[in-house]
Amino acid sequence: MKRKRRGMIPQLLMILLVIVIIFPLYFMTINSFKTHEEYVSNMIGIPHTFTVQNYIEAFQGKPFGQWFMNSMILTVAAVLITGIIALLAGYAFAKMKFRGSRALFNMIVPLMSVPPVVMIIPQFRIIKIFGLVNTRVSVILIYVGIMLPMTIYLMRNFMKTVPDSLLDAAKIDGCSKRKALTSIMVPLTVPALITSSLVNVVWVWNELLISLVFLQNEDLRTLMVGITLFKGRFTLNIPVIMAGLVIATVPIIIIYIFAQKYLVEGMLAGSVKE
Amino acid sequence: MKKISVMLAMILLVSLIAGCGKSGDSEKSDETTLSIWYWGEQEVPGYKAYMEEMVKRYEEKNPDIKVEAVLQESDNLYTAFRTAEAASEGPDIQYMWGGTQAMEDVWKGNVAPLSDYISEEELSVIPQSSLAQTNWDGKQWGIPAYGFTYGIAYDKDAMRTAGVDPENPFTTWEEFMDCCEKLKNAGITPLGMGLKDGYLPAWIGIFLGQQNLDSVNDMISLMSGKESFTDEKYAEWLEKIVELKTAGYINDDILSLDLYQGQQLIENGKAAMTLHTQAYAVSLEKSMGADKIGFAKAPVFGTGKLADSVATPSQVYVIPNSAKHKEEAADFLLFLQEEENIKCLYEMANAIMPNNNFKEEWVTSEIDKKVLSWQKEYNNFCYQLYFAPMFESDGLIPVVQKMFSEDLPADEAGKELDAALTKCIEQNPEVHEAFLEWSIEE
Amino acid sequence: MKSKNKMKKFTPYFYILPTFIILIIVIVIPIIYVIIQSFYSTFANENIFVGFRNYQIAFEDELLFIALKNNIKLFLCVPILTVLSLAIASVLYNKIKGWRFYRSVIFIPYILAIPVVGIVFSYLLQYNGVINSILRGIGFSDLAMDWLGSPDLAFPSVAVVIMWKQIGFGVVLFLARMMSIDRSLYESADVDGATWFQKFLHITIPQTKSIIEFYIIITLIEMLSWVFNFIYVMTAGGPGNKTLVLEYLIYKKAFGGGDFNIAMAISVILLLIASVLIIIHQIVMRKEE
Repeated sequence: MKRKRRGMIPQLLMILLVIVIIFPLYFMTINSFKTHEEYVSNMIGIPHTFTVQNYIEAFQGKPFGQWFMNSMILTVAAVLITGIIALLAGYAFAKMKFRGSRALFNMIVPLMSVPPVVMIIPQFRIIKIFGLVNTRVSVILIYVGIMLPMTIYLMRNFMKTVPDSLLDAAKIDGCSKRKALTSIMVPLTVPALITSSLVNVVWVWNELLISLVFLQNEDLRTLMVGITLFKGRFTLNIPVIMAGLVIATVPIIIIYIFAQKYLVEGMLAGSVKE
Repeated sequence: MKKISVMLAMILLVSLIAGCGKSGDSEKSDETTLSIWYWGEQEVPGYKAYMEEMVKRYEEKNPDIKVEAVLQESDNLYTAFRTAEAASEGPDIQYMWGGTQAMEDVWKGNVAPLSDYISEEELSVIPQSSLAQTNWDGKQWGIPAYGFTYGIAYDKDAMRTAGVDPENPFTTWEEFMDCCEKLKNAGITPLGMGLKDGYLPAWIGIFLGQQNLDSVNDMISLMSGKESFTDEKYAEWLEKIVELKTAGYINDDILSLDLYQGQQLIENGKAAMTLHTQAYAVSLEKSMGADKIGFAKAPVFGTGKLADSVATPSQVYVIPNSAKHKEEAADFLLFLQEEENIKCLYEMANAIMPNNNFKEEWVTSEIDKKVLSWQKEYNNFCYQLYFAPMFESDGLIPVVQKMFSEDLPADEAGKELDAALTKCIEQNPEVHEAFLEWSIEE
Repeated sequence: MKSKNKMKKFTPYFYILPTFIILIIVIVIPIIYVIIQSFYSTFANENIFVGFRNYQIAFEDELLFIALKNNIKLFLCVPILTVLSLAIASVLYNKIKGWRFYRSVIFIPYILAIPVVGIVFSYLLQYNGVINSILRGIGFSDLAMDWLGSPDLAFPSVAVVIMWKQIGFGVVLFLARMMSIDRSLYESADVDGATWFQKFLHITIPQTKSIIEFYIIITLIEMLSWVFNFIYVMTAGGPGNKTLVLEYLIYKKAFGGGDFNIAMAISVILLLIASVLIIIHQIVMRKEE
């Protein structure tokens, strides 16, 4: 009897939590299928008559596909580059002894707290010097720079926990430092790599200000910039707005459903072996 | 290491190609690319379509020029421009909101004088009063993009229900309050407005703020700190806001709506009246019918010479200091002023270009006919055009928001506005000096 | 042989070289620019050295303190988030029925776009929005508030939305770590008759300590430097500056027609606060090592 009760309370709390989390999404999705008239009288119920008119209207004149691809290119490129560069640096800081190692690392860490809004104007000037105004490369470069400190910090701290004995054993086997990194360190670092990439993907995907200012070309606009258009113009017809938000959200949810398994397993892997 | 560096190089390469592909295309041929960053769709629906039409026409006429027009978001209009201009990478033509909001960038050195590229004769088709808004230091800096008139859009059916004459609902403040009372008694929210994004306070000022002023000079004395917002002459409009609020004539969710959301309350019958631009009201008139939407002048309570003035400001185009094709930019701006193109502006976006070639016979809309008759009959004065730099964002917006969210009384609001103004002057002494110079010149 | 050794000596520097090139271009030079500009005043394309004038003006402005106070209030979300995530993670760790499903759902808000979250919540939280109509519908009209419009509620409302979005990350992070804890630790504690809470305190927390630290520091930084989008989409700093944060203040000053150089001075102040946070963190970390 007692056992049963103990199982009930966490279940109830979890169900409550799930409701709190799902409700805004439910609201968004359900209303995207209503007519505006029905929305006014029935904000939270199931629609009496399903309509896809809102989606047709939301798609009109808005290149969702292109916005999505643009966001995708920026995210994939920036996160991959960040991961690779941070892996190298993290390994050097964690497992190699060299002069200034500690000092250099301590210099990098504070940079992760610099708010992007502070640096937009000087960054724009630098981008101009490189002749990269209005290119994806400029934005990718800035994203990589902003994400690097945090990623290196996580990477280095994680690699520190990998026992030196593992690497030493490899060295005895005649492994070079490079080999030690690629064949031993990288597989062990997967959880940290996945965790930091996750933070990075979410950050780049959501980033608004830099892409808004740096990409002054309709063809390069990102999905987030596209969504903010819904803030201004279509405010009367709420179901159309909701349809637009659903269109913007569905791809990332699909990716999440597929990637979830790897995500959770990845975060778990390695750390078990410690 | 080798593998990794190869991978890195490949990723860089791929993203380089991905990024440059687009911008590379336009520079392949030796045609000139003229870039325009504009705004306007939000207050004059149809402006984007008009701009695309203009680009098409201009490119047909000038096959060696390619025009790239980028529509900006409200919040991003100045952000993008100022960032780009700081790096001398601005567009060739930039859209700006009229008055101080355009002149600030002139004073900061972000704008090239238009009069270096367009002769006085070419400008003579534009009425002097419009040009004066961006004239400073003996030079012309901006050219109108379009003009529009502020007024109160109202739902004629709601007026009928409440027993108010739908063709002529009010002219004086007493009549206006009476009209509101009748609407309220009929169960209709009289005024629909949205305060969340902060554009509304300046709008209210445009309708009510000027009513005790006799001339522009009064406004300048106020904005230079010589006069005070605690003086009845300058503060009466703040009391009127409180009056409307305490009588319950304003929608109860004013604080959680944006400007446009508040305005759109009249479209779905949630409010009877709202502050609007004539261009938007005309678009409603077209879609809902002339017997549904009416347009009225602000109710008069003041005793100044400007009490019954109407506000017909114009938004402007400027040529940024860093523009690479200033001559071509000037040519395009003059192209917009050609008669057939101002006709197109009116047909597609319901906006009237302040230009002597605008023909009254083009006008079919009842609202526009009314507005044109106001423009002949009354003084033209727009309160917002003379705001001191920073006054709106640091003073007016938070103070008016507090009047609603914290029930700040009018006299306290006046004191806070004074304090904010003093702060603005202290923080930007040079800009403020230029502001005084400009406003007195006018 | 000798030259090869010499090469080896430089290998670590090759490893960190890309990092430093990018950081110098993207962050270090801009910061130096910001610091220099904070001592100048720009007018009509002329730069005039003004010493500490911009800082003086910034400190005389009450907006700086309003924004600062709000950022500090956001820091209060960090312990709440940490405790909540830990608690939820440890409930899920016990593998209650459907824990995989709960874990998947709880993580969803974290991957949603901030503009999407901001727009949906502004419709939910409007005075005549969904939450209030539900409250009115079930007879709690007194509880129907202007969540984003009232001066006392606007900021807490924004904070709750930020927490709603961020909680999933902590839960998944902690859960992943907990799963790697040696089961035998718990089993021997069970033999000793330890309660759930005792196990939580003496096994779970110490075992997940490093990841908790990481979570706290990254969340603190998020609350200081990465909340711009929430404010931008949901309140624009209003009503009456009640939801102003440092980032938004800098944005407003730099681009909203204000003095760019004063914005740079405020940026330096923000950088100093962030540095202090990091230094405290470094000291704590070193003490432990």
